[in-house]
Amino acid sequence: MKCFSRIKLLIIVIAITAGHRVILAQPAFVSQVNSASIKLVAGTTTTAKLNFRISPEYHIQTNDPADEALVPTQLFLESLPGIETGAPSFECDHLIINPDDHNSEWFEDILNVYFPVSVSDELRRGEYLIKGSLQYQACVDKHCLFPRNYEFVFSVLVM
Amino acid sequence: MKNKFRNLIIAGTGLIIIMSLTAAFSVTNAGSETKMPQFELSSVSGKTFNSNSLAGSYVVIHIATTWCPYCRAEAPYLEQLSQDYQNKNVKVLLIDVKEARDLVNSKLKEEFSLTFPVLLDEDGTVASAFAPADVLPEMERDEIMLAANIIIDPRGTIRYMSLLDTRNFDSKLIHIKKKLDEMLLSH
Repeated sequence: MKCFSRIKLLIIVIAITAGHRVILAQPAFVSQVNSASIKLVAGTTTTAKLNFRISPEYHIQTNDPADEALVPTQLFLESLPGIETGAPSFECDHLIINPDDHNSEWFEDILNVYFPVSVSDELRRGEYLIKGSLQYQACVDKHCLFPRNYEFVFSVLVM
Repeated sequence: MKNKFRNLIIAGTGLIIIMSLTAAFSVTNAGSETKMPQFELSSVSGKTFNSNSLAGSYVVIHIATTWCPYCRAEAPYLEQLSQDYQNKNVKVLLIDVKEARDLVNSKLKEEFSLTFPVLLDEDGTVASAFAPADVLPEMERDEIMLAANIIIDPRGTIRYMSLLDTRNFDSKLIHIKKKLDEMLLSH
């Protein structure tokens, strides 16, 4: 009985507040296609590849937009002692939008990001986890979104 | 009885908190007319701007950010509109959402030589207050307003609102100018 009256009160509160602004969790429009990991021998360098999926119908700024005020897609990786990562390169289908006379170029669908990873020859064998984030600014036909960061973990297995 | 009273207090307190958080910038509906939400914002030049000062004029409000490509495409045409209509009782405002003063000053006001007020909506509440409740309800309210254009009449009623539509993008503001001309003619 006590529980029933609490539920009733909760329903009343929800009903009265319906229609007011609700604060929603910020949805993500980029996700990782598969878990990111590489294996390499201490003292060597290899190229790592990360795959991201851009949500259908959405597009994100390229890594090098023509206007410096726009927010480029950027990869950030934390640094760990003994592991060095180099400048990333981006590979993606390009979408050209021409609103009136203003060309703008975007990434869409699958975004591949490549970057060199070097491991010091003094680094002990084992798995090292590097935190990373992909900064992006997405738009769809009907609205643009505030810049967001997609956070991920990248595994480096030193053999 | 004691429990019922306690539950009532809990529910009532929750209700008051939620109402006070959400009602401050609600758009007022008067019949079928939607009134402009009242607001007070700081401009990039540091002056306080109160929406009461707009009474008696037609107002074009553009909601923008420095990184919004469509807002940037419109900016020069908004300045042109401001100059073309300044003697027709039309005021133009740009409300920037959630960005720092210096950035907005350099990337919007100075870069496009904007002569009309550029206001800072630091937490997005004013942009949210303009957002129609039935449009993309799953999205953040201030987010759906980016690149929107709004026309307010001299009585403070929202007479026209366009949200971003990149497939029919009108950077030259041809449609807004047509609407303004119609309103000015019928006034």
